[in-house]
Amino acid sequence: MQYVSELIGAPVRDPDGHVVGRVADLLVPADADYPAIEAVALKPARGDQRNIPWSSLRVLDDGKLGLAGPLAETPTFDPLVQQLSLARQVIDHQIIDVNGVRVVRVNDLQLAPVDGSYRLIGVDISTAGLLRRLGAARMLSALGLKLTPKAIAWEAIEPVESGTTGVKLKVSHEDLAKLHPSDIAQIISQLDQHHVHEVLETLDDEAAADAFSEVNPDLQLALIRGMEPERAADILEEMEPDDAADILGDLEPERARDLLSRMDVDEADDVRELLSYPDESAGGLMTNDIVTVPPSVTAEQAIQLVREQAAAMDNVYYVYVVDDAERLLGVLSLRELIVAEPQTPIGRVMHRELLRGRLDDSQDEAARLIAKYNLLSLPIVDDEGRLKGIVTVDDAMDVILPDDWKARLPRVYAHS
Amino acid sequence: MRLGQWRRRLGTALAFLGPGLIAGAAGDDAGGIATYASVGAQYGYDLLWIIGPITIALIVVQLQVARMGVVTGKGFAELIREEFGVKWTAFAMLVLLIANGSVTVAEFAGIAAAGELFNLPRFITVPIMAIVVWLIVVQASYTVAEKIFIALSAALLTYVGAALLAHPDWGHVARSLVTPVFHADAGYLTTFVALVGTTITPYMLFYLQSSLSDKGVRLEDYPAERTDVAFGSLLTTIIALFIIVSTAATLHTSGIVVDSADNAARALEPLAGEYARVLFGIGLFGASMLAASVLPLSTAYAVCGAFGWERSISMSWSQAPIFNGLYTALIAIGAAFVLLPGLPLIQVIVATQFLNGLLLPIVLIFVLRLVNDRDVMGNHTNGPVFNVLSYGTTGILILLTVSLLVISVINPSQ
Repeated sequence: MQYVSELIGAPVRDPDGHVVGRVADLLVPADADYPAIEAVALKPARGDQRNIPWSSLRVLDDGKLGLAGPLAETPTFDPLVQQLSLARQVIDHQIIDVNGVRVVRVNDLQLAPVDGSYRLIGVDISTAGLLRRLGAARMLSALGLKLTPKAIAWEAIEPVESGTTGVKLKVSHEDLAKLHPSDIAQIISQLDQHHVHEVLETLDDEAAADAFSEVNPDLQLALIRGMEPERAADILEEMEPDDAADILGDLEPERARDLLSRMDVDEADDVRELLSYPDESAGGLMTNDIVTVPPSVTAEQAIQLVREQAAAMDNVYYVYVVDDAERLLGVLSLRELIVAEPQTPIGRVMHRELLRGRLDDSQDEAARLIAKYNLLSLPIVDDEGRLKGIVTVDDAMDVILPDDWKARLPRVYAHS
Repeated sequence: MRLGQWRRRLGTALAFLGPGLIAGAAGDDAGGIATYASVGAQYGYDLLWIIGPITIALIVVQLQVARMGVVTGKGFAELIREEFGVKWTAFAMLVLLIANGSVTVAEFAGIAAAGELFNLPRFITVPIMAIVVWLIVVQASYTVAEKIFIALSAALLTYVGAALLAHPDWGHVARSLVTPVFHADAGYLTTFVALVGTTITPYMLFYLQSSLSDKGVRLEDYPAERTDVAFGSLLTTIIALFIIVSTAATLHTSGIVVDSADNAARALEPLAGEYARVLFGIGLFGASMLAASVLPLSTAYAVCGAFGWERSISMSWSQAPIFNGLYTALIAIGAAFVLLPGLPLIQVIVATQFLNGLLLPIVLIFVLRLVNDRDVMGNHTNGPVFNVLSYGTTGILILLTVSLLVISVINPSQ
């Protein structure tokens, strides 16, 4: 096993044994599982750094690198695919450990000799790696302390660094996109701001919105602020209107107005309505993504209506029955709707006795009702009894449970 | 809860105060109060001329880290790691630990001194407040705690009133602001370095960059942050100015040296009369607690960020042992140091600010290297004006340190 940190700075000799320069960096193809080193950036004693293809190099007996021919006759490396500079872009930088669902800092990289070449196999993230680079390893082993390096396979990580300037890394983050939104959210909240945006750019709007809903409110604000307004509006559109309203309500009014104007008109209207209710009220907690049917339709027709309305929603718990003036008449669960005789009018199978909250109830009151009666959602009506929205159980939990406690609960409701 | 999250939450709680203002206000902590009061009492208006240049230096230095935070989206410590590697990071973090550790000592000394104004012995106040600070960190209950401490420390604004009521010779004050006065003695130079060290702290630079990168400020929105930073810096030095003027007009004229909190409080007498001690005690307590509850945590956050160790308050000891260990150790060491028998509190506070002044050039060199690196900053590297001013500040600080060394070698009696 060879460590990249031990190769960087090492002298490179020509066939005559003269030192012609030092290793400044190692280049590997950016999008490969266990890439072989394709080139070495050589810093000559005088003059500019130059990339030399691996084919012009050989590994000497002492493990150091040597040129196969004289420096003057050595060609310059001409990359066919995008290259990753290990010293400049990977070592000491953040990477995503996809399996471990976390962000780690690279202390060193492990190479394995394969067929006269070196392949990048692992990322050392251990304190042992730090100490080795500090030059303290020998001292510690003299003291009888043994360092066990902890490494993760290169295949299981995603590099994120592209630097502030220069060429953007085109890593697909395919593995990342396959993760659960909660996991993506966890990774996002550990990454540096700019890296987050690089990762978000590779996700589609819906995946980004799902992950977005899972990160904490303050980070949501920071991310929205840091994003292109068009993209931010696209993501907000994909979110539940209440989640979107929570974010927009905390943003600077001018920015919020701008984002709303860029959103789809219907979605923006839903959000605007929610924004008009005070933060601490049931109105401020509810979402207006609701499925409603008139009492006169049959169960069969109702199922069709539900199918149309629910397509764009994450969760549907109950079907609410409202009259022409949107006054709440009754409710039935999805199960009840499905098992009802197809030709029965909904008005006959719905429950007329139902708990409801009012727009100006407090959040706590609405959450308490949900907890007490084990509801999945609570309808919220205005003074005339018109259905304005629902408070769902996951939002109610946010009110009732302290942050820490919630984090320890299994995520049964959201995205299950 | 992550610290970044906490910091952002703190940001929302103090929506009227941007990170620049908070960083600026943090300059007026126990260290600041003790140092400015000592300066005024001992040298009168002689050091007042530094306020102008120091304001410019403070703004320039803070704007650089603010720009780095916005452009790179990374914390200062993390940037040092990525650009300079493990060895330089270890060195920079050692510097940061010494600087912040010493400031933590100063804050607990401030707490002890404030307690003693109310006849509470430090052996009671310091351990209790150390536990309170630790609980604030562990419970992440900053929103409330910060508000209380900021409100308490506002009592120190009475220095402004006290300065006005002390009827200083404003003509003299105005002349002193623009007339450099030098004394070639070690005491003067030490005070000079302490004055710079308490106004521009390494801690503040790390804090400011992290808050701006965590806030997700876009480059287009940077001008607003710039105003915030400049305004915060101005606020810090204006308060410093008034503390110096009020202590110069009251203590210096009566030949009183600030060697105790009692004496420092006397400068408030023109305004508060017999309540001067109470006001000063409350203000000093609030300012010290505010800084004491932020410093250890943000230090641990920076160090763990640079080395890639887990850093989350909600994580248990076994998940984030170094992070939890670091801030706990900083609080414990800071508090324990103050309990060393017979420690002269005010002198210790000023000494820690002097130490910060000595360490500041090291941090500034890291700032300058990074902010002028095109790979890091792209087109947002320093212009010539910023470079001249920051290299100037760094150079002057190094020069002062060297002269101090020379003077103490030539004339060790001073």
